[in-house]
Amino acid sequence: MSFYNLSGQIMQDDDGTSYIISDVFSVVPADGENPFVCNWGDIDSIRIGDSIITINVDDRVFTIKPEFFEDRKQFLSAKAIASSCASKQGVPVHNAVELLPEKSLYVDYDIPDFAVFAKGEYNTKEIKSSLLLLLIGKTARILWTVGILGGVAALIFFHLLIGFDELNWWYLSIGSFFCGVGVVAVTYLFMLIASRIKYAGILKQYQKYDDTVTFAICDDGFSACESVIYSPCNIIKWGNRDTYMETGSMFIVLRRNKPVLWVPKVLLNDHQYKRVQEIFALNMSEK
Amino acid sequence: MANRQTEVTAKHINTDDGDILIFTVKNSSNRIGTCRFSSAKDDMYCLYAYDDPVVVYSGNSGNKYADRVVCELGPMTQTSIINSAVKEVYDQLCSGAAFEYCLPSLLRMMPDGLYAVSWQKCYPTTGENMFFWSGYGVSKQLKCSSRYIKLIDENKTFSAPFLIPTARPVMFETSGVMEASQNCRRGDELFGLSLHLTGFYSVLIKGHHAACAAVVNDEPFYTVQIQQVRDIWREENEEGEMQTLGLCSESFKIPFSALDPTEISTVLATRNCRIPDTYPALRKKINSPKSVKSKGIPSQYNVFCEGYPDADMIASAQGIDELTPPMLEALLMGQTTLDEKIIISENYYSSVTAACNYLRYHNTNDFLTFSLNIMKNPELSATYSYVATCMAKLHDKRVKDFFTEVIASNDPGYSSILSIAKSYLQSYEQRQEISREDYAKSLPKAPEKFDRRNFVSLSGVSEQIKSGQGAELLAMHIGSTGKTGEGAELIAKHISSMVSEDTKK
Repeated sequence: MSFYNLSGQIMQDDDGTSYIISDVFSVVPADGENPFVCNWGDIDSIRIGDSIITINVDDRVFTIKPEFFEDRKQFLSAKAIASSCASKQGVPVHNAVELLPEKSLYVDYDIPDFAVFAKGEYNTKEIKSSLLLLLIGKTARILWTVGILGGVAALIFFHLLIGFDELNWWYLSIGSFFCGVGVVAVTYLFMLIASRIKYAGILKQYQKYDDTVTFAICDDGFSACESVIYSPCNIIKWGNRDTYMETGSMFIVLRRNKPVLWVPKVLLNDHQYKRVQEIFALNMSEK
Repeated sequence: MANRQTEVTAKHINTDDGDILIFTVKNSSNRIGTCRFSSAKDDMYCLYAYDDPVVVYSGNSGNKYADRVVCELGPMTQTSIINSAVKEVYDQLCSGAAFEYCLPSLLRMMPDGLYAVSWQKCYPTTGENMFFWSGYGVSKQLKCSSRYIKLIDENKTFSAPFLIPTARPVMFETSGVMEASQNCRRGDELFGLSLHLTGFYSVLIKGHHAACAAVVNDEPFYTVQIQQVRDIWREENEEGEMQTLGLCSESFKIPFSALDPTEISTVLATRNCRIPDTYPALRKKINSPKSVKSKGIPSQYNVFCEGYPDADMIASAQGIDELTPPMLEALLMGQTTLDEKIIISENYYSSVTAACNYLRYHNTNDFLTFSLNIMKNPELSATYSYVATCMAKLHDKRVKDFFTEVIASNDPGYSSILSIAKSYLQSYEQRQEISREDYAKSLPKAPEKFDRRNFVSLSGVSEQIKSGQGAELLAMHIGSTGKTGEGAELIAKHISSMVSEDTKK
């Protein structure tokens, strides 16, 4: 469990019913009836949207709507406590895709004073360009394969349709090559559109809330958390199969090929930049 | 966000266990509390007072029956604001003020939540016949310090009678004992102020010398014990379903029906641990090397404490409802059941050890009779070692005779207790009774006690001063401070005369 820096959160609906997210999940009716109190381990699943939390217990569904939260800080606090408490008990937590690492990955750990600390906001343009590079990095092999397959398919097609001979082999070959390039271009465009649709939610969400993020990177792990709920006592430890890549504007840490940490280089001074490079190189392989 | 004012409300509630005084704290400043901290050893917790670590102990959160280990102790009242609050509360309690009146100033520094306050009889020991103030020099496992205690049914509440000091032994002063004996009383009882920590243990935050006085005078020692109520009280109903009935702690069960929704919400929102704002300073202090000072508590206190019950005895006394002669006979015959009901436990060894501790607590004679009977039965030899250890804690002629017989008999059945018998006989001869009276006489006399009146604080009386009661209040204040110097007396007289003249006019 982590996020001991946060106090339990009480959200109230219009009827005065209180939804409490703390070391236990509870619902206290306003009419004096006995409250519903539930250990996190007894919960079936939790779904966390960009401003809504839905908790399923047995056949009951509790939805904590956006208007029940006093402010963004309260939502983020409730989300962090629910994620960390539930995941510790092995309860599935379904999070909306987001730029910052999932709160359930954090463990209780004191980040040393000599870690690299930075604070700031993401630039959506930088994220977009990094996403593109990430996409190319991720799909380079696929594109090569698709290109070669497209070229071979064109060769076979031309051979069956026209037939290769001494006179036409060179322009049919060039034609096949361009067919391969065309297939690659179409595939790339298709993937680009798909990824834009996938990450549009993140970018929109980020633009909507504009949360300031605090980053901490040290030899034992990292933290990238909304500044309003940040504490140097929570960390995500480096994983065995973590990799990283460096784009023109970002450091991106990948866990199981999915981005888990985005560090804008603009937030780091020269010394911090070198130190981050060192830490990453020591703990991960570069993609 | 604007700082919200701390709210402390008190109320009495009637439960099956009687009247309970509870306080609800909201929007507190969190100056005193428990936090968790990362360390090479997992699961370490710290009771802190502002930026001072008070008790550092292991959590063992994986096992609800695992005892805690106290690793480090520090002073509670180093921070002036906490020191003055504790002192003020204690002084008011000494002068007989009601708990509802004086405790809020201390409770407002504690984390949000529900607190039950009780007048608790305590044994000033570590739970092992050692005087509490001298018993925590090194890391120490606290017996029966888990949230649940194996011998006590999980649905039962139990008291927390043992103490952990928050003043270092170097703070002990012989002159303070007799002074405390006179001044640190509420009514006729010597008392202290304690915060419940875990299981049978609470942390004494004020009244260390009063505890010394209780040991020297062989008087009972009480504490005003503040216990946070934060666990969920669940019990199975007749249909076998778990029902959530209310909130509970080690010593209290409070049904939801006794609380209003706001109070319930406050408690349910309280987290077990919080990282305070002062965490970095706290961590630095925990990690910094400590200076070890050699001055300690006189050894007589440990001798005087031999007569107090230990944690095993208290656990048995609180966990076992009854132990009738037929039950004891069944145990002596090697059975764990009577009329198809389990007497104590299905495990024979556990049953005998619990029975021994229960009898030691209630009646030493019965214990000796029972244990001597066990020792006569070779079939129960598995329990010999434990029973002999319990017997060796008593200074009694019957025990001496038995151990002499054990050594003389050369019976191979007694081989496991030979060493216990030998060391007992050796110490029996060397034992010198230390008289409490003689020790008390050797202590320096306390300064003459002044006629203490209730302390009159001048803070927050501006309205009364405006309405012309200033002189009167000042006179009362000077009188209540106990200053007997001539200056104070003259001012008091002068102001009193002014007050009387005003009254005549």
